[in-house]
Amino acid sequence: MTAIPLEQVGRITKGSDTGQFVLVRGDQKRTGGFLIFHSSTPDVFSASEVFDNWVELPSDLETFFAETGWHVDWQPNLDASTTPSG
Amino acid sequence: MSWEDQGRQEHGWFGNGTAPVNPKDGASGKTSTNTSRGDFATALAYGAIASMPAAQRARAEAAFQGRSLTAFREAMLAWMRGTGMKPEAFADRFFGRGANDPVVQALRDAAELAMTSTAHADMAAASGKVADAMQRVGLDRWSRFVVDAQTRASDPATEAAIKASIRAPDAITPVYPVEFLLGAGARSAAGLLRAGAAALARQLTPEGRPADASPVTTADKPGNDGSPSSPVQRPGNGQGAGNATSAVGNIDDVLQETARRSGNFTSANKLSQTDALDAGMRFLGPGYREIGKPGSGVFRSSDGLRQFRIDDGSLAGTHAPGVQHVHFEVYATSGSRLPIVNNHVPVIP
Repeated sequence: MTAIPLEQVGRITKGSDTGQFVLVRGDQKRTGGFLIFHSSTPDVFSASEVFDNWVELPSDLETFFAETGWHVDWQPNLDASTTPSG
Repeated sequence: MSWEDQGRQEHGWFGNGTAPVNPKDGASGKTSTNTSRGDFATALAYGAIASMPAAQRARAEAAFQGRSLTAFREAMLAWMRGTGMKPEAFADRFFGRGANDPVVQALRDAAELAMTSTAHADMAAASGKVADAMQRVGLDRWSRFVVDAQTRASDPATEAAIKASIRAPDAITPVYPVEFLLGAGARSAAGLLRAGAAALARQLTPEGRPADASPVTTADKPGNDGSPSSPVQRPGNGQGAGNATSAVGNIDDVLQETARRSGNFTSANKLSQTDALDAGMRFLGPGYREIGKPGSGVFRSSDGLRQFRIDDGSLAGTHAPGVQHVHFEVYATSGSRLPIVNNHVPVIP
């Protein structure tokens, strides 16, 4: 089981996209995999700038994060759909 | 890693790399509705190829070379419009054969399925019917067969028979869902293109990297190409809406920028659905396979280094950032899970 939480915004504290925000969404019903979104703001689903990647398996998710070199501070209080003030 | 080093076919599967069918040059492809139908017919052709046994797929591809694909597309449009004809008239007008001829039955079934398709399974079935007809006709004879069929379909007498069989010609609209999968099928990796619903505003962002930038290397990582981020942007942001470029001719540009750049970026080009399909096929090369759940829309090249992703969320623009797009992704190794290139290419309807 992956330690990477789903549907939770995290702040990238180390790696290629330091300072950006990431959210992983399970997409089992459609693709059978996982979508990884990252954006410059925590409002991942309403941000104007968002990138998405896809992996198939939970183990792939672990590999993906390892390859990015990301260290992520998962922040359960961040709302992915809300544009932060300021 | 250069494009050539990845071993892809430079010539592409369907000729010179331009769209196999220009939606604007079809006999009846003058309206947006007919363009969608044309894309639909083209999708059936690709689906039929993909549903062939692997050993026959190359010959099936060859059977759609040259004028054959255009002829098939136009003939299929006519067959779809003619499904209201009596079986005998349908068989005679379109094929000069009897109603019980298995080729006629297969293609009529395909046309009917195409007209009433509401699910991926219907598209898969329609593609399978086309494949069955191809097998019965013979792959080496298929090209001539469809050209002859298109000639018959375009005969004024046939057109008159079609019109007589339907009450309101323009009322006929395929009812396949917006997100129907080109290729329809899961197991055969048949699907590659889904129809788009809404027009996308032009979402160009400046290339952050010079045209002669060095090739992608395994050292490159997403976001590390030194360019400003150029992500897909939401529609309606006022950036040149309605200023879409012609899709024709952009396929090579998309493939070249995918080979040249690195990291996550938004393409400087937009592709029509048909061109996106063609580009995806060229990008993947022969022997690609669908990964993930059947019908996922995620296709990986035979060497595992290239991925063409048209998952529902991307194509429908339902996930952030709300723009219909497809992905051209490159991996450093087949075991990598982080693409070193992720080209987000907006799709125009």
